[in-house]
Amino acid sequence: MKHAVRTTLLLPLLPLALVACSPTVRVMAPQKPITINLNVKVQQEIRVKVAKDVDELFKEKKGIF
Amino acid sequence: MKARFNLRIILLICLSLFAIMQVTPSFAMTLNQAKAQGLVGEQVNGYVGIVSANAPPQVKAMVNKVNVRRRQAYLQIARKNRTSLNAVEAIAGKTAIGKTPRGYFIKTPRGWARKP
Repeated sequence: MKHAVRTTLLLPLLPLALVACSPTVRVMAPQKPITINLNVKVQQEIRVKVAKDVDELFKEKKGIF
Repeated sequence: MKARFNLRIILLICLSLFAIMQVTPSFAMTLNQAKAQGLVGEQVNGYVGIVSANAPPQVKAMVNKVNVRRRQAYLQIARKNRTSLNAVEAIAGKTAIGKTPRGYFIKTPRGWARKP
């Protein structure tokens, strides 16, 4: 009761103090671009297709292989 | 009786011609024959290479023709798949070396060696 005035004045400052103490939460975009993963997948598909075409070539053009 | 006699004559002629072809250098040698004789071999770059500088000029000419036709074929595949010629050459080279029989010459980054 004695400190009623003091408490009433200080109470609004309490959330401010809590915010100052709480850890900062940062939301950041990932450093690695997602396109890198896509490129690797596309390269693998092309590689498989080329390998298949090459196998076909070896079967068809026996004179030069 | 007559049919069998004729067949034997034909067979003898064929075998003789085949034998003559193997020995006479003026007859065109096929790629597989040249490989079997250790004159040429597959390379990692997808083309045929000459193992010995002493290989007959006919063999060298044949190898050049083969490589030109290979390059054309690789270009077609590269265009079709929208990729580089280098990529196709590398894949073809790997395939060719993979299909090479044991004991045949292959050219690795370390030089010519018989495939183990």
